[in-house]
Amino acid sequence: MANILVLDDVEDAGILIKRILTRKGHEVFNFTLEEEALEWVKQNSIDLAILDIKLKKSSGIEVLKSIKEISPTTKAIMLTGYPTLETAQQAIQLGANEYLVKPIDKHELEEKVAKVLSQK
Amino acid sequence: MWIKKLISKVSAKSFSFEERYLLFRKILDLDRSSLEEIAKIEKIILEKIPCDFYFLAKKIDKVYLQIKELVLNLQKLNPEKYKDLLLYLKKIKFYLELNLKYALPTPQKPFVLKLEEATNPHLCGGKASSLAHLSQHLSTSSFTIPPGFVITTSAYSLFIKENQLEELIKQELESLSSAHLSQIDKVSATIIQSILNSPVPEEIKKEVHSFLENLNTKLAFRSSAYLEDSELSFAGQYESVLNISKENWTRAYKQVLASKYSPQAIFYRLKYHLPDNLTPMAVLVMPMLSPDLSGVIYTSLPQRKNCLAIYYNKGLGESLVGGKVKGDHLYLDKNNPQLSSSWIAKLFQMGIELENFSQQPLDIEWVLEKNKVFLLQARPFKFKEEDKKYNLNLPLWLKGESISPGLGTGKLFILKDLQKIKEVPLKSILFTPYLYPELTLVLDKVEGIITLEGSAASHLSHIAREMQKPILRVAHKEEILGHAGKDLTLDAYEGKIYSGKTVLPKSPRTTSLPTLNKLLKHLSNLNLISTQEGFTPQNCQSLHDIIRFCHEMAVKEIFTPEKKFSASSKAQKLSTELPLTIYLIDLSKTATSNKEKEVKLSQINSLPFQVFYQGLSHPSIPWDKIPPAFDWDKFDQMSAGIFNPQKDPELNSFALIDQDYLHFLLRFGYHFVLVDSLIGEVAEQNYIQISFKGGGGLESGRLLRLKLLKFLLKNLHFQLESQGDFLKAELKKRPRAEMSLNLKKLGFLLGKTRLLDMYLTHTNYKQYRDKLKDELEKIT
Repeated sequence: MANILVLDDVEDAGILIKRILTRKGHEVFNFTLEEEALEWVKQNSIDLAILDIKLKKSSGIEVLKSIKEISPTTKAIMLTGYPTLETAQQAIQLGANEYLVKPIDKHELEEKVAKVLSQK
Repeated sequence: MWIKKLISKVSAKSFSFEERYLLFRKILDLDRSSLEEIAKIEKIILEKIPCDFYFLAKKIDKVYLQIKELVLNLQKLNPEKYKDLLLYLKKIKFYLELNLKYALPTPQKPFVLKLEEATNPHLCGGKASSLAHLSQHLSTSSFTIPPGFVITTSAYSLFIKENQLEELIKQELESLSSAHLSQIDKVSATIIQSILNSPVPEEIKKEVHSFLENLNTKLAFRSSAYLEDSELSFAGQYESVLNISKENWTRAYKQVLASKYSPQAIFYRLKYHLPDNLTPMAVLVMPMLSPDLSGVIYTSLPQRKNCLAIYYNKGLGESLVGGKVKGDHLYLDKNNPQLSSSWIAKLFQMGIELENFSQQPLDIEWVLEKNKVFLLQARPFKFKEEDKKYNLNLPLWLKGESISPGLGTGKLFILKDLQKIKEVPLKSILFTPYLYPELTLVLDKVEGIITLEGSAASHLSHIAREMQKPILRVAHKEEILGHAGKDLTLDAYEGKIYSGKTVLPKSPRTTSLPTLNKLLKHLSNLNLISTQEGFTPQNCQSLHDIIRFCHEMAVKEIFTPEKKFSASSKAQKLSTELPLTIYLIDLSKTATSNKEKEVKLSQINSLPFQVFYQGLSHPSIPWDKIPPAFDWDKFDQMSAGIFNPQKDPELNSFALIDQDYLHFLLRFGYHFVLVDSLIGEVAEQNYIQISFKGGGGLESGRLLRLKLLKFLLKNLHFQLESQGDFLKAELKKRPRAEMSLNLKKLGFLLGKTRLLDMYLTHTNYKQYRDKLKDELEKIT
């Protein structure tokens, strides 16, 4: 099963995702601060990063860029409550594999995580 | 009292019933029109009906706005309950837009790249990136790739944006639907002129000039759009501009850009529903060669995989590929090639090397200059697809209208009664009077369906299209009935029914771009199938789901008893022979200006009320038999006027009526029935709902009556839900005639059973049940 990092400035949102994905057998690491998340990516091997677009200091797009520089093979799913097409397309250009719009649906999350992890 | 409880639960709303009813009708209208729109859009995508992608996007935007209005209207009926729905609708919209709205590439550097570095297809287009890829990964002596540079798709984006052409192009293309294809020449001319008349931005010029500095030959400008030479070849859609001296390069560059909007290039995109912004144009610039020979290699042939073909002519190759000259050709057996001269040997070697490297047949453009082979282009060679016209070689029996395209062959099975659905044989052709939603259950069993009624907007036809099951509609049942067991073959592409069976070609799985499949996923796929399980806003994944959710919920919202009817001054008392006090409120816009306090039956313009009343007042119902339903006058006398039912709204019956609608709260003394029904021309929207509770008899009698009602309603195909002595039943989506008959039968049944709880016992139950069943069947 996969190592998954979740970065969301709202702790509860991260906990919800962790609960769903842990049941699927994944190892899930939650963060609310971008620096801590990036530090973790430097030290550990991460298969998938689930990133909220709206973070405390920067945007998930910036974090995606940094993660892809540190670890190009790490997959990414972007998470957002207020999606704009511009950020979405920007994220996809930067190598995001999927998009997840809040409110998060359990089945949708499971399906997209499984799909992204199975991509080469 | 339980009625009071029920009523107080509902009366929280600030709208009067009349207002809620108008909202309800508005919801039904929006439901209908948005479902029809979605069916149209789905048809365009699945049947690959040519239209511009902007046109498609505009249509989807429009249907989204309708559905948003639908949701807002439902929210008015019950704001608290549906407050999240808009959130889920917006989520679906976002997923749609991800596959619907494409931005041009960001107009940022690099605007020009050396060909060797041009490996990114997004930036450098198909032609240049495949050459760059080959030059990086294939070292060979058999051929050379000419040096060159690429003016990138970012440069294209800058050109379009700086000259403010994006909006103009969008507006022009947006008008191109299948009905307006004749406009394509005009649209093309307008866009091409605007491109040719716009200056090349300075930033691009500066970068190109630094590449041109050291070149002293004439130049060739070739198109290299994104997605060109991919799964979709775009073969010959775009222009190459040759023999250009470097002073004139901007004109040549713009000519290649403009060729993106030639009528045929536009049409090609319309056919595949390719978004314009998804195919930005890069331009490959190469020094002009002076070839002795030029031509094309097909590394394999459709009929002969072992054969490599070389087509060639003298001089430049443009007239050969353009079909202007026939040229010469050579077929070479790959296992035993006759390589009669060195240039043939070099071309053969190049073809084999490239095919082996690419692992697929290729279409290669080359030139021969001073006995040296230059590779100009290599792209996948797609064999021609099979035609969709089938020559079935069978005698034509009937013609029909196609509702879901496809082919099917089998024995005709006539479904007269939905209860016989389990008897539908495997691999049969099913004849049904109507596209009942229940037929979904046998869709994968049957080869095809012939129907008398039903449209492409029905749920069933929608699912049939997803499953590629043919459905045809015929005009007269007389042509079909009496032919059960006949061998038939349906061609629902052509709308034809043939006599006899045949072996059919496997249905071609039409390949669509993945983006189009994702669009359909959030547009028309139906995920909310059962109303029992998971019927929640969270499970809405498509616009179709949202529509279905709103429809079901609107019916639910309207199906609640109302307290304040009688307070309305519009209420009129029905003059009736029946021992019931019925007040009517006419909701129709055409309500008669009759201000009389009493209204006669003949004055009532409501189909559902009329048929229901016909059933209720059936001559065989002993209304005047003792004990009466309830003798209010006597009761009034007895209670010395303290309790006058005719003045107390809680003990009268009320009906809200429209031409095609009935909402009837009936009080038969001790028990309570609510009938809510819509019977109009659109079968998909028709329904009858009833809820039933109470009674004056013993509990055993009441429960037996409920059992009896359940049995008989089930027999009429109602869907049932019951709890204790409460029963809810529903019949949906039947054509008007069938619905009317059922409502009449329901009226009859309620009249007959109104006091049955007083008489029913375990011993006489069966006798009553069977007698009623017979009587019901006789009602026509």
